[in-house]
Amino acid sequence: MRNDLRVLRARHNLTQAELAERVGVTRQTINAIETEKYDPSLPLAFKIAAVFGQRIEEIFFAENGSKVPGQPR
Amino acid sequence: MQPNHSESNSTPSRWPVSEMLARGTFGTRTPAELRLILRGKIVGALILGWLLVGIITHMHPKPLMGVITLFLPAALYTYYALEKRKYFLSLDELPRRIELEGMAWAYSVGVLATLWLGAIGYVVSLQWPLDPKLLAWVPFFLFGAFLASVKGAYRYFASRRY
Repeated sequence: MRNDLRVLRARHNLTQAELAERVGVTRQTINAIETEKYDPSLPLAFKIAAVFGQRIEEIFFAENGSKVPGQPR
Repeated sequence: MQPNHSESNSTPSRWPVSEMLARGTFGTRTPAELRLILRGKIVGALILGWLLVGIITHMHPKPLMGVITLFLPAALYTYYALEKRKYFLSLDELPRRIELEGMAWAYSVGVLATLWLGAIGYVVSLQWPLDPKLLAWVPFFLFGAFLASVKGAYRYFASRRY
């Protein structure tokens, strides 16, 4: 699964540690998600989406899939 | 100071190696982890004391004391295991996943090792009979240490992946 987490985090002026604290995980977990080495659970994905005020599918998307349904990447 | 937003590309997850290998924790300094470390030190000190007393008295205590001292490490480790469980439940999803995978590996390798060592031990004992007293309790302690090492090694290598 791919994601735009790093871009979003930069746009919201947040460090990995700050985002980690907000969603209740360690910085290492956020790092692993950003580098796409680890796919978050659904509850964590919801928490991350809530921090950025977006829907899950706007942040996380399939490897070769479109980011928003109907829009090829 | 400006926050470093590009840290994800340059900085790997990397939990502190020393904490992982020495204490079996992820070195995130959460209250649960600090609590486990303190309890671990207390349990370690008590077991060390038990060993020293055992050496000093040449392991020949009176029967009642013998029973108490033999069960002391198990009782202490039971307490530590309960504390470890609390720590495990406090972990977030990635470290918890690594711990769970480590436990699964330790179990599988443990079963394999038991089968192999049991068979080898039996064959060896046919040729060179071993002291039954030694066989009665030493393997359990060694096996416990072996399983802990397998899980610790898995935790270390798995954490390097992220």
